[in-house]
Amino acid sequence: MSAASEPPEGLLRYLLERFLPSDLKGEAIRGDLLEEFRALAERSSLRKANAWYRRQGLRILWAVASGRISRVDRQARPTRPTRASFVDGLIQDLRLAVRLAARTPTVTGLAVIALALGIGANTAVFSVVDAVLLPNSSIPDADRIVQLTTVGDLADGVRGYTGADRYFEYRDKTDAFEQLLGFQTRYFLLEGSLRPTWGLAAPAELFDFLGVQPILGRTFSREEYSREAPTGVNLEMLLTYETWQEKFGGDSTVVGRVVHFDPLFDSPLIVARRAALGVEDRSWPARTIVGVLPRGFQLPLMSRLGSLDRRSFGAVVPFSEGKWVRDQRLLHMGPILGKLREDSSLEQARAQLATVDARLRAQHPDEATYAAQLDPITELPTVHYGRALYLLWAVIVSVLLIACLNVASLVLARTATREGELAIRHSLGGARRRIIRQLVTESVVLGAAGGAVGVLVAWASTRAAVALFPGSMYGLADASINPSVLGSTVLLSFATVLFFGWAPAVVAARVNLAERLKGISRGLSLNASRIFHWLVGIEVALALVLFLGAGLLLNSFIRLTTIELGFDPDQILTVSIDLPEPEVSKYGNGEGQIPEFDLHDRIMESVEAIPGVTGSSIATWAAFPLQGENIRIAVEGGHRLGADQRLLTGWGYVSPGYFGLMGIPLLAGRTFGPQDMSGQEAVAVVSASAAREFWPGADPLGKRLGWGYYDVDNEVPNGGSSESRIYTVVGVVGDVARGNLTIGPGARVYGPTAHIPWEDARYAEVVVRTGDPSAMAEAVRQAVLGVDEAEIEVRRVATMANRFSQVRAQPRFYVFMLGSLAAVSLVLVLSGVYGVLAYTVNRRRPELGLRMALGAHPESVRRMMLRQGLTPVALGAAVGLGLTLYLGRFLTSYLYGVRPADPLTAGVTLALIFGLAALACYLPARRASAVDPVEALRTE
Amino acid sequence: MARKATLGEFEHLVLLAALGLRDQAYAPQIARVLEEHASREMSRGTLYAALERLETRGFVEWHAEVGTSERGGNRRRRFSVTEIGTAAVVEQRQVLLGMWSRIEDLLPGEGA
Repeated sequence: MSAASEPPEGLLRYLLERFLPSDLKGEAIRGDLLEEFRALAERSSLRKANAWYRRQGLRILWAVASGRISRVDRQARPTRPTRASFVDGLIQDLRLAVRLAARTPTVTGLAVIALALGIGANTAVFSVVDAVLLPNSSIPDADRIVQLTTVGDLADGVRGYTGADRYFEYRDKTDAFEQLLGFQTRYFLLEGSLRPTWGLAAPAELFDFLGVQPILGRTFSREEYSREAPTGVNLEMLLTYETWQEKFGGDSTVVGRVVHFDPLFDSPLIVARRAALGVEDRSWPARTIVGVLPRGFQLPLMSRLGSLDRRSFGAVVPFSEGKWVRDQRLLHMGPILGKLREDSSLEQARAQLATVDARLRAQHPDEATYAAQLDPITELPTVHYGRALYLLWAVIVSVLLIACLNVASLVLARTATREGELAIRHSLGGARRRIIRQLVTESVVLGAAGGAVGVLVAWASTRAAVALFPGSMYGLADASINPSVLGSTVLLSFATVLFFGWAPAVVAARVNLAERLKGISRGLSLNASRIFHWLVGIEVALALVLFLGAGLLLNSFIRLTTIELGFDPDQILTVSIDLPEPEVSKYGNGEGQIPEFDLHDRIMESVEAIPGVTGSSIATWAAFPLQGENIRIAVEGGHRLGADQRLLTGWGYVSPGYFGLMGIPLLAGRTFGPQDMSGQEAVAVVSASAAREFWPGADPLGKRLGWGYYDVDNEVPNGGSSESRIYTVVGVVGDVARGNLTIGPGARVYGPTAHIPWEDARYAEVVVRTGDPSAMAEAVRQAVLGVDEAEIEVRRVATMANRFSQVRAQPRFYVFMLGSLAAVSLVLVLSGVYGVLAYTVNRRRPELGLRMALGAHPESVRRMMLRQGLTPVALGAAVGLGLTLYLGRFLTSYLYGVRPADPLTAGVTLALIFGLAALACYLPARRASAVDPVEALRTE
Repeated sequence: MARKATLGEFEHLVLLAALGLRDQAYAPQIARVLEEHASREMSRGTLYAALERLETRGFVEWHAEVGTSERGGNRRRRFSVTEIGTAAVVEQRQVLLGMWSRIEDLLPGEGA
């Protein structure tokens, strides 16, 4: 009973002193040994205690000698957690999270797929939208910049252009604008180059306005570019980056070089200037290259001028405004860019423009309907693409929402199954903070995996969109992943995962242990099932809206492909040719073509000489199907038109045999024959629509019509155009489709090529019928060029079928976009339904086992699970259907031949969603009915 | 450094013993609990080695306390199981329960 029994002295004690670590650990172990030795000595006997001490002492020494007890104290640090232990804990958490992810491969896989698709699809679509629709973001003071266009019943049907006279009125008679910049397009040939270059005539202020600095040289000098320059001759020129690379090989000494160019298309400016200067010879004017613009330079406009392909936008020259320009009423400016003064509002500017409009209306009664329209450029994409943009945004948000809901239900399910584990840990003293931290870490691991795959999906699908639709939309080729979009999408997804991983953790950590352990094998205290049903229901509703929308677009696209074209596009090859200005062409005499103009006949002869060509014909650009623009005409009888009333029609010229070659049927009268090519009689053939529209109920044959400003009945010209003939209708032919397939054929009037004005002759289509159009393309091109290589430029050689498919590029783009998003959402919803039901089955195994033990048939269990899985689907579908009917009206303008409430589309979509959802439910349901009752009950 | 993901049987027992001792988890007490269950003397070398291994893995940590006279004035270490250690035990429990549930119908004297 000695309170101070001592272990035996000797070698062992020496060794323990000597070889145990000299630090706290060693001290503690020696203390433990002593403590136990004394307790044992007291409890039993000193002899036993001595024996015990020797045994254990040797074992400890052995553990030290074999390295299992280290001689260096690892825990020399204080026990309060330090930064290092926090990091260690984090690493531990990460390891646990990765392990958990690997242990629940279904949930992990589905969640990662959902996140990846959600993040990827959204980023891709938004990046494409961004590239196509929102190119104006980098301009200084973008919120004050406006686009000015003229709207109304415009003389030549070209929308958005403003007469030069109006431009100067707008600019000089208003004070709401800091600047108002007008542009024109030019077309010229650089010396040594056969391909014409599009150019822009722009004021010198443009570059400050856009915040653009040349990468070489300087912009225009203001001294030289003076408003009062007597003749408007400016000899400076800026190259675009693309031209600099292409035509000058990126030569950095290009600045200061003088280039000559042929002002082929620089008229009427150049023509007027030449007249003013008395220059009649064809010497090529010279310009000095003063600088090179940065790559991708363009105007922030949403109009034809703005959307000129920037690769062909070769150079910028100063826009001069001598007296002779100001008076050009018919000289068209492009859309005008303005910057509002800081202290004036859009409304003030509009009011001032309206005042100018009113005055101009009084001066020019024929322009009574003209008015200035002012749009802030930041709103232009919305104005231009209208609902399409909102539609796409809504779709994008829906898909992301579906993805988030899906991940939410999966994470919730996974956390819920672990509620028991969390409760034990908590009651064993685990700090809630730590438990929550670990759950958050798990969410982050999930989010990171989804995000990483999502970036890949985004990258791949952006590339796919660009590759699938080359040239279908302006700016698409430049689409690339938008980092800020990607960032915010990833953040949103992370937030979802975090929230749905964290919320159950907080609840679980609060739960009483005893309560939890009772229910541990069954899982939950959270009413998770109800939450799941809500989540699935909302997902289904959203997906159905998307799917129905995509279905409607697809349906309408299919109808579009079977649309009545009015001609036979098979076996037709077309060659689009351009001729120079009449004053520089050897076929022109300054105003029109020379009397003995026979170029078209020679082209046809040359083409028909190719073996395999069965016929050819010529049509002007405007006469051709899928294109054309409206002009005003006056017609005899039927309509008596007031001064401000005009009929619009497509007007073009075709050679004899054109209608037969194109397969356009003759409905009444005759088509053109050789007798019409003398130019003596002015005869016309009208389309069925034109006949119906101009002379409703009357026989169109023998009726007369003429261009815009003529009083046909009295044969009195009342406008200023070179075309003054009155045409007599000799035939009626079938309608042909217009460029916008969905609006139906418009009225068309055809004249014989004998009366072709130069402006139309310059843009002609050579139509060739041949067995294999694609194979003949090169031969036909050579034959056309061979007629007169110096004068003819072949703009394009294309099969008719190809041109038709290009017209459908935009609808196809919409179908693809919405279709792929709908497909993504369907995959998400199905995986959500499957995941949730699979989880439910797992959780209810004991209950299902009990049911079957009590005699429930497997079949009835299966049916029960199917019913439970499909109920939220059905409810969601009902809501989605209603939503689609409500939202369908926004789709109407994109539909052709289909109403938003199309029963067939709705039926097929519903059947598809239900069928796939039933399949997604069936697999877990089958597993439910395969539960072995005995086994399921034992795990209770 | 690659560490074994699961607990060894002995480590598992040590952790359970430490958890059960709550704030009395000193090495001698842990040893006593284990010996009571195993009905035999256990090696202190093995125990200290296991505690060190568990410490290295972050499953236990310890605080130093002032030594008493029975210990010759030597300070002592009070062990506590960390979050991660607790998580590991709970995980092990799940594994064992799962494994047992598969074979329970083979056991005599149990079943329906």
